[in-house]
Amino acid sequence: MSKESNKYLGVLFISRPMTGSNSCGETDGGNGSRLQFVTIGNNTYSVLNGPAIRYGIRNALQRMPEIKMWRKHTPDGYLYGKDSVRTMVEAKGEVADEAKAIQEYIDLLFFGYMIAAEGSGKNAVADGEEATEKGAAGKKTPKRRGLIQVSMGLSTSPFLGDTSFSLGTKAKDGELCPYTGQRHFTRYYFTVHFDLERLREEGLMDRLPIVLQCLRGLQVGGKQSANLAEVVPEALVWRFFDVPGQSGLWVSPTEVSWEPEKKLDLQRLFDSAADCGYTVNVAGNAVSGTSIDDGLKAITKALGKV
Amino acid sequence: MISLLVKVVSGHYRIPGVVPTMMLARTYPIAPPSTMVGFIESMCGKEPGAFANSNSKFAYGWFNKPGGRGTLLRLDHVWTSDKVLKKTTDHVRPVKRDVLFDLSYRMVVEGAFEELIREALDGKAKRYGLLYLGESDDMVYWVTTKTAPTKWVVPGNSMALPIKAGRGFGTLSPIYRGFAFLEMDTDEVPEDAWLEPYHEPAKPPKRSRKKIVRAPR
Repeated sequence: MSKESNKYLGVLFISRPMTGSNSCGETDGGNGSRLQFVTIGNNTYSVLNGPAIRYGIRNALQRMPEIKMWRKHTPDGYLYGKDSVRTMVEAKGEVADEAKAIQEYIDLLFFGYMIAAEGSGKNAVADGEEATEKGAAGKKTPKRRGLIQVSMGLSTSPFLGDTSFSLGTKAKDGELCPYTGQRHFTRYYFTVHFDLERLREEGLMDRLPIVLQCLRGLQVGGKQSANLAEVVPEALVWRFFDVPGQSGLWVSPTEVSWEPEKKLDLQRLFDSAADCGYTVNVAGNAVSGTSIDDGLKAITKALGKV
Repeated sequence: MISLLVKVVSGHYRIPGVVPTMMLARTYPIAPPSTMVGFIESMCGKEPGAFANSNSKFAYGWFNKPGGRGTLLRLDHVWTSDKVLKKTTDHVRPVKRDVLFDLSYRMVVEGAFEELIREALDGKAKRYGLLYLGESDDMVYWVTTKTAPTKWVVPGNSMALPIKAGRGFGTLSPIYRGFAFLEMDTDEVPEDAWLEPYHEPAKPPKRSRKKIVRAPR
């Protein structure tokens, strides 16, 4: 390749072995929470949902100092009722000027937005007419496509049915209530794609390292889980690419043996990359001499070039 | 003629209809033709409808059948109309989705869009956003040119897929046609497998009512 690829960035995140408790929050009739599963071949693998990972990235962003977020949730506790979310009608004034909104709020920049308020779209108020609570800000639905795409996270080993038994406290009268929850000791992996071309056009490339820092550790798990699992990377594999959707950074769990009891072996990924004619970069002390922090610095340094 | 191999992490191609809370939102067994056309237009950075107006045709099928399947919970926007308040309100509710995993499509395109696809594969397409096939979660992680034995989608009676979708919520349903998978995996595209994008039939001109002038008695 004559020139360096610079339009998109793909990062494959492989977590350390951890006890997955990203329960789906709904019970199966009994007093127990369960994981979400996908059946591949004859085995079931537990799943970290894509939206849950995105939620974790938002939480991690909100914990960073001097970062202004559009969302109202606090990362350490939920708000309920009207305090929990900003309504779309509230939003329309602030996102009417997209350039100003993305400059101010980092979550609007990376995750996008859509004001699906009543009266937007084909029933929107006409141009020049004052937007009311019922009408939207313009003729078209104000929306912005996100610059970040997260795949589903999959476990690297099949689920064998581990269940924990605990006594929780009833919120109402303080009585102890027994409940069960499924736990999966495994590695998880998922892929994140970033749209660098658009970010460069908008002149906000300096925001990308902030989001990359979030990949050092994510809390992906609902509040209803017994413990919030900290998803920490054991290895990060990344690649810059020009063709949309051509990162090559995903592999079926049946093709690799990344079980938690074994040492992480990325040879299958390297072979696949070599077959397709590209190279990947790796960070993580267990698989290369580079630490995760040094890997993230290397991406930031490469971003300075591209 | 250009032959593509497209690999996708997950796929949920929603069968339209009302999904009550906690019930399963079902998926079509394969991405509908209209979704594949949208994917190609997005990859080349073209507007919806560009493929239909370009005299191109396509065929598609499984390069590999889906590796897995599962039901995942996700918050979804549900619009309900309140007859008392006389307005439509938006609720966010959990919906279980039927999701396919580890998908490999083969798609063959013939016509004016071939050149645009080649440009996109050289990284020259002027486009916006990240690439997905289906919903925004359904990440495409590999696109390349490849010819290989494929299980083609041909006209038949085993499944109904929409050939025209997105005609508005609650107004017009998608237009369906019957399809089936060809039993034998073949390298070359069978004649039956070629599909052309749906064209809206031209509307008949409105008849102008002529005033009937009666002769005075």
